[in-house]
Amino acid sequence: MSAAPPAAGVRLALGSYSAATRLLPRRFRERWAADMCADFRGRLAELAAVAGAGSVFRFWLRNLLDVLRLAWRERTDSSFLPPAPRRQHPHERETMLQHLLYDLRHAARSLTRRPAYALIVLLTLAVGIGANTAIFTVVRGALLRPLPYEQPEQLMSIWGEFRPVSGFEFPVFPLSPPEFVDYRADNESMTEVAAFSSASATITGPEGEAERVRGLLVTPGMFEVLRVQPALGRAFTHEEGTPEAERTVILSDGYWRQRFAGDVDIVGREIVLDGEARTVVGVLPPGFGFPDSRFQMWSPLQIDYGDPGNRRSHWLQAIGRLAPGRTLEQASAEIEGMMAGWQEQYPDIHTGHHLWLRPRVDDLIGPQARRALLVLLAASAFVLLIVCANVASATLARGEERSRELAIRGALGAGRGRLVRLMLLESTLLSLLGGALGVLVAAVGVPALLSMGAGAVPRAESVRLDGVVILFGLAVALLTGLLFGLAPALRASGETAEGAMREGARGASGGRRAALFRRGLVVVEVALCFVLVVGAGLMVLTLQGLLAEQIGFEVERRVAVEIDLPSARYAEAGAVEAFMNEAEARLGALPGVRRVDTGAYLPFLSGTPSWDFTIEGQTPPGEGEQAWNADVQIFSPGMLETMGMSLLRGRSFDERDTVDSQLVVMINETMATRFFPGEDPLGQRLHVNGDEGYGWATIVGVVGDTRRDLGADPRPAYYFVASQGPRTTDSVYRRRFAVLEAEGDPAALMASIRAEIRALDDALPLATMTTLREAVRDSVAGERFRALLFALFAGVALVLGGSGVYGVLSYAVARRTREIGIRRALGAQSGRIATGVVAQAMSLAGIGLLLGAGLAALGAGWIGSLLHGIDAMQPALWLGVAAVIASIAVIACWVPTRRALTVSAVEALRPD
Amino acid sequence: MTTDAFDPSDLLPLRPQDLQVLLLLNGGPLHAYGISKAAEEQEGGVRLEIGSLYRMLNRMLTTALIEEVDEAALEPGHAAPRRAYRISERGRAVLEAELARLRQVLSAAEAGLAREREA
Repeated sequence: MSAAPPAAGVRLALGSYSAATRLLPRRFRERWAADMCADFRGRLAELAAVAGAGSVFRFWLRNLLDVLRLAWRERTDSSFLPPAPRRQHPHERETMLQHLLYDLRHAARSLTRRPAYALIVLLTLAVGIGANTAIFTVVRGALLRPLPYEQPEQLMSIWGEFRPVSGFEFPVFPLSPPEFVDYRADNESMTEVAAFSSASATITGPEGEAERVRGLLVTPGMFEVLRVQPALGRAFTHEEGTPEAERTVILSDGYWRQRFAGDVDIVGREIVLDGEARTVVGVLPPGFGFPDSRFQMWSPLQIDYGDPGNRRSHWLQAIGRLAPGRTLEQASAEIEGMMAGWQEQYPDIHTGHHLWLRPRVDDLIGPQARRALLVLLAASAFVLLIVCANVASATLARGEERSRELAIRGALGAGRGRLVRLMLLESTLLSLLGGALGVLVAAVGVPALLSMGAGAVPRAESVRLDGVVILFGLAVALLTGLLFGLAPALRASGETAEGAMREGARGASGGRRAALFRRGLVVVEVALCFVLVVGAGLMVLTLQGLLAEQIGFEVERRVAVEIDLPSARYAEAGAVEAFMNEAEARLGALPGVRRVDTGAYLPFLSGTPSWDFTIEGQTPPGEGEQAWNADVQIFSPGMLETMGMSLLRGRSFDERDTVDSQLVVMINETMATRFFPGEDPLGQRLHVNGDEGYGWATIVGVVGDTRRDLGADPRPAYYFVASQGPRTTDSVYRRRFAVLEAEGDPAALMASIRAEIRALDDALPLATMTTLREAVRDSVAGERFRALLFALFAGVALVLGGSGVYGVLSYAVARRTREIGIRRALGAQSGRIATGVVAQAMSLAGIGLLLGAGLAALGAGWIGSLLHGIDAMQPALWLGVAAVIASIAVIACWVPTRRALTVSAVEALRPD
Repeated sequence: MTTDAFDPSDLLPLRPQDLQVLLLLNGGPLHAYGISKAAEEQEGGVRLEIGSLYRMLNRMLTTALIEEVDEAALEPGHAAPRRAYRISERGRAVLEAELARLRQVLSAAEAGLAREREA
């Protein structure tokens, strides 16, 4: 006897029973529900006192289903009297609809009579449909949902491209202000063109704490391009987009509510950004965001349209709205004509460098992300197919159990159509219920997916469950119901009464066609399982490969703190250096901190600029050749040690390297081997080519390569020391990352780090901090997301597919009990019988694996671009997966075979 | 209620479960739990789940085959009054009509079988 049920279980049983009575029609409920609950309580208590949890559970389940059945009957059947004898024969009066209602009722009853079958099918369907609906929700949000602007299909992004002949190779590149101004003035395809550039700022002021705001500089035409009007105040005027104009700002609805508590008098009020006063002129409507919903404020991008500046300085993104009736092709043709003119006018700039257009939506979701989502959708569809196969085989088995009932119904005059309909109604009812459950699964799953795939799901803000998604889920459910219900229905209804009665409920293997169908299911399930598990294996190997890459620095116990000084208060390089030195000293003195250094750019944390250079004594590349350039890092002297980077030759920076001493540089290994092959780079000099005026820098050290991104080969890189920054370029590096090496868990230091920075300057926003481990991990968010989801699908596929294969094979073997008994009675050896049965199953699994391998090979090309560092054809992986699936198949037929062998011949031959 | 127009045969044949409940109540009033317990314990009896039992009671009350009785009459001093049921006059009439019908069926069937055996 099992253990007595816990009190909580009893309470749960009572609660659910009482809840179920709420489904009863009102009149019935008011009269009887209290009595029913009291009876239920009494009987439950009585049972719990004498029987174990198992009996109590069965009692509960039986009565719960009983109430549901009661509710259904009371609601659908008002005439409880037996049919009056003088009534006409029912068939003369029943309409199609009545038939259908009758059958539906019958289907529901027949399902509640087999709760185990119904429950298993429902749960399986919920998983399959839930997974599909959840992935579809993401696909719909990311790929299918239009951008949240008016007529978004008219929005085009304008990009630059550098072809190799220009000396560079950048297929997607920002525009320079003169390029934007010229295109805006000369094109006839767009109603308006606007440029933008992101510009975050620090807001201070009495209304709240100092904080970083995500901001965007936009030319005043932006709101016209996007066709949006501020909900409060006004848009920017053309004058505000020219130099010398007063600096104004427009807030997002969300930020206005968050920081200014939705103050309706905000328009005209001054706020302080980066230490400067700006006037708020408007608040945009709720839900508006550009480039996406994270942006909180917009300021005018000020361009002198008469003299827009350096044509080589590319830092603007641009977007335009196609004029009515214009197409992308026409606009692209126009731009090509324009480019021919630019090349003549500026041959040194526009040779191999031109502008091009693409729909705005393509900026937000690249081909890689699109491919990844479609692959995941395909994977979830495979899971659904496995679900269908499982449910079909369960339904088939059940159909065979019912074949006698159906045959008798047929003999009594029910047409074949009616029988098929009856069974289809059952499967449809089940699948719709499963679909509803699946939509619930998706409703829970989508937020989970999004938090799991943070940073990996493009356009995550537009991903949500809506009517279309729910319809999708139910449509998938209906289709599934037809798919898993039709074959068994046709089969079971085709049985003749004579045949069914003769065959009996057990013994023979249920007809050739049924056996063939079952074998087909095994093959299909094995094949689908194989594809999914191999796919998951490939994704996991990719992720592992990326994470195992040598990144060239230490991530353990390292935390990076972003410090961004406002230019208004830290105008001079000296003030910036003083602040940084003080910050290094204070943070370094914190208990638990081993070392601190700062750098202007950090791998995995910030973009890294590339600067061109020339080498003393070497001929620079000529016209049309790829220019020499390398990534720039600007470090405080001890950064090499703090980051755990390796110094291969020469020396690192130290206190000798000041603003007045000889200009020094370190280069990485890739740069040393590429530009100084076979010679010693130490002591050689190079010159940065931004603008003239910088001195020759002497190479003092060679450091090991570090990666900017996992999966990308290291690029040439050079390192300057921050103290000599002003002599390298005229930039002042106000945004730095302080890297701390902690003695223990770096996360524990975060509060004290914030406090120290606050103590230095309380108008600085809360510093953002990331451990280097997180930064590296987040850089492969996409790969991680795919690997995780694929592994999830593969796990579900293995469980469902494995149990499906197990179910089908063991059912088939169990049905051969009689045959096995006869063979043993005739003297066949058990071993031989077992080998025969297993061999037959293995041949099915083998065909399935071959089919799966074929499918996987077809899919390999398709997912190839999502893999990194490995080929889809991994013999070890493929064989391993095949072995796992084959062992499941062996176990699946071995267990029932053994059982069949232990049944005595007499038992096996016993008539029904 | 007027019973003038009432013909017990209108309600025949009874469902087996209805028949069983009427037979049980014919022996004296019972509350719902007592009915289901007695039904279960009877020779060839069936398990009546709570919901099904109440559906039946509801139907038989509506057709006035049974009626409620005062709890106190059943179990004097019982703290929480529960509804109990007894067979009504009408119920008894229907029960008798059903038993008569069954006897007819039975004797007809036996006669038929006897003829077959003779033949």
